Amino acid sequence: MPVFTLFDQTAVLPLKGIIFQTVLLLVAIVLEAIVLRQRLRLGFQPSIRYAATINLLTVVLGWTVFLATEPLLSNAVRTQIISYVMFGNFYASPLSGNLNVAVVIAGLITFFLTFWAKVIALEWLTWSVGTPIVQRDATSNVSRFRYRRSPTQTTSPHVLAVLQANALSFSAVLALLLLRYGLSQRL
Amino acid sequence: MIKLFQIVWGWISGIVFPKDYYAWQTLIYLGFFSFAMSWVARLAVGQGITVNVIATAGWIFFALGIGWLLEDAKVRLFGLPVAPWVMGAIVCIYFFGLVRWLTWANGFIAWPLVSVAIVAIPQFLTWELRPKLPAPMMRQQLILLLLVALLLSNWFQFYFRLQNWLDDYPSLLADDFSRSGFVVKLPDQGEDQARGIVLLTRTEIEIKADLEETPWPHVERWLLNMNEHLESIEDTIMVSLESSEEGDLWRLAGLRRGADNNGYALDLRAIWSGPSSIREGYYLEKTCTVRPRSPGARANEATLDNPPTPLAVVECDLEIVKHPGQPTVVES
Repeated sequence: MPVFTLFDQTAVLPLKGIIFQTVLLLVAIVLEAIVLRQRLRLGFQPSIRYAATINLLTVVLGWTVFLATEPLLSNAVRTQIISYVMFGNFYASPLSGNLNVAVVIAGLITFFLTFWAKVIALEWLTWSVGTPIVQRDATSNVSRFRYRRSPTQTTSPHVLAVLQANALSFSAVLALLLLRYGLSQRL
Repeated sequence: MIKLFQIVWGWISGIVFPKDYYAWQTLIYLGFFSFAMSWVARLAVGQGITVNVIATAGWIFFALGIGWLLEDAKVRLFGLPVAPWVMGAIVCIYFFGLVRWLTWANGFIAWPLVSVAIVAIPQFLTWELRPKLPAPMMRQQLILLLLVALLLSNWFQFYFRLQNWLDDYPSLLADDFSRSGFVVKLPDQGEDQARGIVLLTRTEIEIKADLEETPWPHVERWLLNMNEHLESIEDTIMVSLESSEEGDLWRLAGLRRGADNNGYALDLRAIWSGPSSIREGYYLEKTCTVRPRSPGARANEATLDNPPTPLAVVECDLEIVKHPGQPTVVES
């Protein structure tokens, strides 16, 4: 059957990536659930479900962005990404000096993008399951933003909660990644 | 013994002949019946829309029957029902086998999403097939399920992307994957895939064709212009090799050293400047010696005042050595 000949040529499997991603996701979900539960006074189960949903969503968005942009990259950048995925390091090339900076900047951008995505996702999720944590504004988006920017209006608690949750989970994931890097260099 | 037979027979007939027509067996039988009929139709009228319609009906009955069976038996993996995933797989095998211009890879990527659709669609329809909104709790479950399916689909896609990379850059397979954070390498795969080895072996053949049994002065002239010759050799070999993507990352260089018997030693190097577990890259080296054939063998043919022109002998080591880093001296 042709389905099985598909795997005859298989030389590498992304097993490590899948396992690490699962572990990091579980860690992030647990930490964010704790923060959401404390700050938003949600129940135990809803906070786990919300945290799982928003984290899965950001991971899926991240994969989609990566898989969609990877074929568009120039060969110089693409081979560096291949090197990182396959061997765990960039290789020496005219680009490689800037790559560490690029990784840090990408990390920062990812943090703010995921924060924004998680806030939106949490609002939509709670509306769609019928237990809104913020009232859906009848007014348009523009006035909503203007409202938020006015000095008398304090930031709504769910935004702060998600910010704190995101910061906590990013720190934990970063610590685990650094730990893994340290261990892999030692071995 | 007879009693045992009776028990086994009772068990088999209980599975094969259900007590009620409203059972999963009915659907599977309908599926088999449709397959049989589609074969009959195929033998009778050949390919045609009728055959496909009957076969499609067979696949649908089969998928529903299997799904019903698994749902009835409450087969679960990690607390998740297995039935929709199996039904999704059957649907994908059917659909992506039927539609020729879609690959099996597409089928794998679509499989989790098809399975979620199979779970979700009944939740959005009432028994009278009117659209409805599922209960809030169900909505949350479906959203989570959809996201998990998307993640699985992304992982499949990542797997196929990895294979594409290795098709483009087959030399990567000869490297060390132990420090990768993403992939593990299956054993016994592709040690010999490194294009550098092919490059050096082919260069050896080309050099032998150029120099072997040629007059020694010709050899010395050739060696003076060695780098140009190597460049043209590299170009011809690279054109004939598949995987053009990584052609730019290999470079052929040679180092000429003096050796015994008025000969030369050539260090042929295939230098890799692409993705590698060694940051600085690596190069493969093969050493050849070129020397004039000792004139003793031909001495009797020549007169004293007209010594024979010695002919060249090329010998290459069998071994190809891998060195980390870039060679310090490229030019000779």
